[in-house]
Amino acid sequence: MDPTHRTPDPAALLHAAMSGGGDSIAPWTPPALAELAGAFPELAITGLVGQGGMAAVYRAEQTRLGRTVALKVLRQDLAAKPQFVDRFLREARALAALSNPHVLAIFDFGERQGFCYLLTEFVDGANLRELMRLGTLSPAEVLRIVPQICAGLHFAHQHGVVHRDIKPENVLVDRAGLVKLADFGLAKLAGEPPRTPLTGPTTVFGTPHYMAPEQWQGSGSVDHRADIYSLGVVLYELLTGKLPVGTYAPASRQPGVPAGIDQVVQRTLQPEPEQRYQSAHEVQRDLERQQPATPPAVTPTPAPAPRGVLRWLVAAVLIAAACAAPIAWLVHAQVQADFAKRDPDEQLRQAEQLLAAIQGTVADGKPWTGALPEIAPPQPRVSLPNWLRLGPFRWALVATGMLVWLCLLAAFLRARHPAVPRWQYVAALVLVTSPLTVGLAAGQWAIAMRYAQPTAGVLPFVAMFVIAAAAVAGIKKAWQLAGNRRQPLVDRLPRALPLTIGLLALGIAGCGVYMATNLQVDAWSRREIGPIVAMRLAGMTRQQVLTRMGPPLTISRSPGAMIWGYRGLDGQERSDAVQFTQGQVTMVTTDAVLLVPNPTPTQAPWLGQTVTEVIAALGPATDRSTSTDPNAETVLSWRNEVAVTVSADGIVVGVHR
Amino acid sequence: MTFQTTRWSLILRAQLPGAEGHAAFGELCAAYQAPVYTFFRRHGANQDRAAELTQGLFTDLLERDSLRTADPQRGRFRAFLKTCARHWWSNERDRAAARRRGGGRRPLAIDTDALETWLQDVAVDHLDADALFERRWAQTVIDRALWQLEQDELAAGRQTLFAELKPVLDGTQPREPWAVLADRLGTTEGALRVAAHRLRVRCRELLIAEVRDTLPDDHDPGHELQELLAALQAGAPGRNSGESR
Repeated sequence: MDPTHRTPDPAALLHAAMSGGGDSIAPWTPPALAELAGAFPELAITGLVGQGGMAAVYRAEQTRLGRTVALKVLRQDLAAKPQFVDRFLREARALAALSNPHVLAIFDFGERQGFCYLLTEFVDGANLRELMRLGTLSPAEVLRIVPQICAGLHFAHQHGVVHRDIKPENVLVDRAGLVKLADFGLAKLAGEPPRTPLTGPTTVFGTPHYMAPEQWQGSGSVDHRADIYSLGVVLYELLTGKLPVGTYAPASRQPGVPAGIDQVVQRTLQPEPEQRYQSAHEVQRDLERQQPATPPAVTPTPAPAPRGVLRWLVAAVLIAAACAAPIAWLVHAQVQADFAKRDPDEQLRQAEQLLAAIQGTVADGKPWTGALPEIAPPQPRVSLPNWLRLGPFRWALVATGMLVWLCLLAAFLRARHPAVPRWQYVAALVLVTSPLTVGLAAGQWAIAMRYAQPTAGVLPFVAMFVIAAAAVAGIKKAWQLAGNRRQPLVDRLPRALPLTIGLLALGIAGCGVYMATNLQVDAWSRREIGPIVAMRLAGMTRQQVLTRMGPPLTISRSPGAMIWGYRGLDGQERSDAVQFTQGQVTMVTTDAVLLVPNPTPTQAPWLGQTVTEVIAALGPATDRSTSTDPNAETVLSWRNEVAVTVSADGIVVGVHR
Repeated sequence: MTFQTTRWSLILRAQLPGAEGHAAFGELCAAYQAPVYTFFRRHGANQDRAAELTQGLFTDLLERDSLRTADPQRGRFRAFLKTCARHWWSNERDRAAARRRGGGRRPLAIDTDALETWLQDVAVDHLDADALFERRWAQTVIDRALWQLEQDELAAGRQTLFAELKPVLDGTQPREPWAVLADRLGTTEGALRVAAHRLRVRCRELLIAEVRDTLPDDHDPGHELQELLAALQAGAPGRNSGESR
């Protein structure tokens, strides 16, 4: 819900109007505007803005100068009492001595028709007490306000004025956020003896909480260091909302308060003046060093990502990318090993079926063209317990995932706003990465369930890591889009929801990709390996077999036929053979059913090829031995390095080195 | 906190003869027609009828200068208007005459849609017509004060600030931290809090002024505020829940 559309609670509004917002009930009636108008003809007094126990403050226009001023009028019955008039005068003198942006400016002082008055600049704002009623200030704002108090105090101290009544009520903030010290009624002026007793009923003003020990004990001299103590109390109260009474908790326990502040507070609150800061300027300097980790942006533009975030994100992507290749290799190995473990009984059964079919049909020596028996594709034997047993590649996958996740977490925490608890960030990361995790796990499961060719393990993994990289980029984007990072994350999660849903969709799409890839690979495997290969070879020419299967391992001849030997999938050379009759495959025999292309063609590079191809590759032969028998073989040799035996129909049937 | 005692009250102006009095009275009626309308609605009049009755009542007041017979020193405008409404309703039988007088003229436009929405949104089913009148009266006072506050802020060029700070006028904390809000508005947290504080103070002043406008000079606005608060709380859901009809 847009907060701006919320309407204020009417009952609360009325209640606030009745209670006067917590302002204390005035013990006396300040003079009416009309009364004052007579005494101050040059002023257009527009209203009463506040009243305390001793004086009332009016807002007035200095019509000739066209400026707004504040008219402070001493309570009339007190105007006859010297100590109160002295306080008023003291304030006027103190203000007059201090011309500083952080000290209230005075324009006039005097007495008119029985009104003792003070004319000062008008601060259209509120005091710190009133600001604190709106909730505890953020540490950043405290660190913006308190140094200004320090500046004003330091200026006063330099001019020999000790305020002696620093408290939130006496610090004003205007609409621009500029801080001004006010109410110098208790101030000690330059040239006064240090032990000037506080005038009049001191108990009326201030609270002892803000007084330095030497002030309320009445012992020892009270100098500017008493103000520094009070400043410390104000600083602590602004940060924590509490007074530093007894054994007070460190201010840095508040979220977002830099730890260094504690030392500043401690040094200002030392009971012995000698152990405190010796000047307000030092406090200011130390506070300005304590800017919170996330400095407030002056403009509403989003703050730049803090250092280290990008680094961790890049690390996450790099780790994911670097681990992709070894993991893919491990997958390859694992899947191959699993493949070899397939059920041998089932294979034999299928082979027998096939052989029976082929041999039955091609008995008359013609190329076989008949229909094939329906043979089920090889089925993997994968179960959940097997999968959960975590082969090495899955360990590697889990380890990589953890590493990537930790990098992301580090990036998140680097970007953490100090006011937001860490658990929120961890929760957010879990939320954002869970779709990805689910996607990866489901994809893995899909791979395990299909268990197809080695390529089946590699291709989905490539796809998986592309998706992982995209997800990392997505998380970073979500981070940026979710807006101002100084806002608590829980508030931003609703805005990140579409992106989370998007990532979930991505994860689901990833699963789809895995499934589709696996189905595709499965289809390839049906076409390329197993009994199907044998069927496809039927009727092919030698050149076609050569192209499909590579050079044979062995070649043997029988009357009217030639047999090429290949190896089975398990790497064993068996009687896997293709028989050619008149240049075409007429029979395929295999006891391992699966024929795979010869992986090491260099062993016998020319076997099965034509003599023309050999001459094209090696150049004209240097020697030739032949017999008169037209069916006999010919041996061609090249400088005694290599010799090939060529059959009568021009096929290389032996290679010798 | 005190206020100018010479504040020009609408009621006093409404009593003046001539155009100024009529204008002031018209303003007063326009401001406070909503409680009257809801009063008639709760008595069972349908929307059109309630609007007609409201217009009839105010037209009658204007034409007969009834207000002149009402001595503002005697009581509050709220009580006066409620009595008028009550009489107007009990004289329902003479409505034909009223319709002749007020039905044709539409001196006051009543936003019945907004009022109907309000009647539905605010759980007031358990209130009788008098209590509903009071409840709506309190709401009207607040609405007028808020409207005036908004006009003031608009004139001072702070409408954006006002829109953001309006929800926290009642003393609640903003949904976002102050610092975040300040960032968005391109100001500092301190300045924003100052603005919020000033706004609350001003809202308080306007509420009291608004109430004063409906009171005789010597009446304490605090009492009136208290009564309005009681009326609001009687209508507030939860405290006096709707099922206790």
